[in-house]
Amino acid sequence: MVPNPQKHAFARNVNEKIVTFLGRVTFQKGPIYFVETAKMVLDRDPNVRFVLAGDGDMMQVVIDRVAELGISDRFHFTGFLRGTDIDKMFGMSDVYVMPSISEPFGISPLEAMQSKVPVIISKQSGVSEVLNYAIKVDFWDINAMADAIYGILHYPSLYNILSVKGQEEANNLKWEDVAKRLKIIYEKYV
Amino acid sequence: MKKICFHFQISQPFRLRTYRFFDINERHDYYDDYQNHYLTQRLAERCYLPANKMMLDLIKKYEKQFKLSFSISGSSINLFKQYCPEVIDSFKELIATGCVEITGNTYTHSIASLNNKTTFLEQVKLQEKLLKETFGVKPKSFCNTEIIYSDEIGEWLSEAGYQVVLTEGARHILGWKNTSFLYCNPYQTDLRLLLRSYRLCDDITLRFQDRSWDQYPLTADKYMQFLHNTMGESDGPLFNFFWDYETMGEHYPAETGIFDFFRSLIDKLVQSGSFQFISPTDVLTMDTPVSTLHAPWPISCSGEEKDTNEWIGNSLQQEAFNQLFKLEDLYKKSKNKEAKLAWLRLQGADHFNFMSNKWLEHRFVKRNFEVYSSPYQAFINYMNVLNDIKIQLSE
Repeated sequence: MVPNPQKHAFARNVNEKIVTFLGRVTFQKGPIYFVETAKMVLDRDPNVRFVLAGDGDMMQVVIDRVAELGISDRFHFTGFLRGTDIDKMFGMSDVYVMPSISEPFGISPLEAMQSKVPVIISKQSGVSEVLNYAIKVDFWDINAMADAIYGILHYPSLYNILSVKGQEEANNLKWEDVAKRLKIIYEKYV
Repeated sequence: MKKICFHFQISQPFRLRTYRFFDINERHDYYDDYQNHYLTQRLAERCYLPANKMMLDLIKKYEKQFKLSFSISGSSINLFKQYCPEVIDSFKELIATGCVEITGNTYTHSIASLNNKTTFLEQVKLQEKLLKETFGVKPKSFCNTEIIYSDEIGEWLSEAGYQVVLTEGARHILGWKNTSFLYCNPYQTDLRLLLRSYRLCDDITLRFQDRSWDQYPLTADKYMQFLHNTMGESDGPLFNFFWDYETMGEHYPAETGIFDFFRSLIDKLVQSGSFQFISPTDVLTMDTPVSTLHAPWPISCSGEEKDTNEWIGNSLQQEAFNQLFKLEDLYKKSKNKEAKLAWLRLQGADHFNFMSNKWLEHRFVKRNFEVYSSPYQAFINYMNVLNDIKIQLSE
């Protein structure tokens, strides 16, 4: 990933911590687990805001569930984001969550990490195989996901290590390196 | 005549259960009873009981010619008492032979010696009390958690009445000196130091099953040859071997022949006539130290560096360590026995080891009984428990 210094130049305008989901709101991306997790965290710590950025066919279901759980005052929908709005969203975030049920790779956690945002990703995503400085949980394990969010928000050293080392790790993932490794493998066997 | 000191360490922790943030101030049961029960039983069946029986047979066979020593952490003793009392009985039987020495240790396999004197000596005192109650022994030698040692720790131990300390033969503190001599602490010259010959120990612990090693397979004959090869004219009279007891039966299952290897090795050492087994306190009457040995910074048995980075190396571990020992005053004032015990147990080296990302990128050390999927999850769980203990101690 090419470093982009502008990415974390945006300031937040609320005092609370922000936890973000960014992606298509479809079954495959697991937005419903994000909502359930939000409820668990908010029960314990009301000083958090959850943001669901994106649009998709699950939107109605998600909105209904948020209303049902009574957390609408802390749970926000941005709709579909593009361009600098995405960077702005990452700039405001304290935690990025990707609870995908299945994800061939998943590039968005890398973008979050570049913006120094600690990420929580599902073990079922391809990207979880290449990352060390990310917390990995099963998509269905809302207890573990809630615990990881709470941990990042409340234990500063955890936030710092994931933020600093995570950015480093994401910046060091380069197509050139992958291609180089692939070339070596080719040369070895072909 | 070379003197040979066999020492085995046993340090099983009370493992923590998954403790979520919403459990804080709601539940105070921190331990994974199932895992603790299962692992204690498993280790007893695979290692402690058969190994103790083998040692007992060898002691009987060679009467006073075979000796060995153990350090058993307080947590391990309490786990045995709770889940597998026959292990305690078999140790009692070994101690009754007079050929087995139990060294001092910390109560919960604690890394308090890296914090300060009061927290460390509290651990030492509690362990002494437990050893007195359980085995009726009062140790004069000491084997710290992961053989961590420094000049300062040596001074504290000397003050607590100890005369011999077992530690690592770390090259960076030894320089041109070698482990085959007896050394002493530079400030408390009565405190003797036995240094582990870690290359020879690692030949068994790391390489016993290593097929890429040019000496594979390791046999007792070959090992005897290693010993003879390292005995130069300028070498001293000592060979110190400290191992995890779990090397027998758990790290290497019985099928690998590890028990037969040790049995045969001990047979050969006794029968060769050129080695004499000693226990750590025997050096008090036999030898005078040849020199002082400076260890200005703590050393341990960890990796090649022999430092303490495995436990307090990264920022997560340091944060957990600092937050833990901040509670020392609360611990002293509190009357909540359960919370006080939990605070002591949280000092265990294993908890910190789980948070280590020292091997994160190049994981070549496989940990036994891995419980957490990453150092971060280990940290979160630990901090959740610690926060509850903090509330419990302050009430």
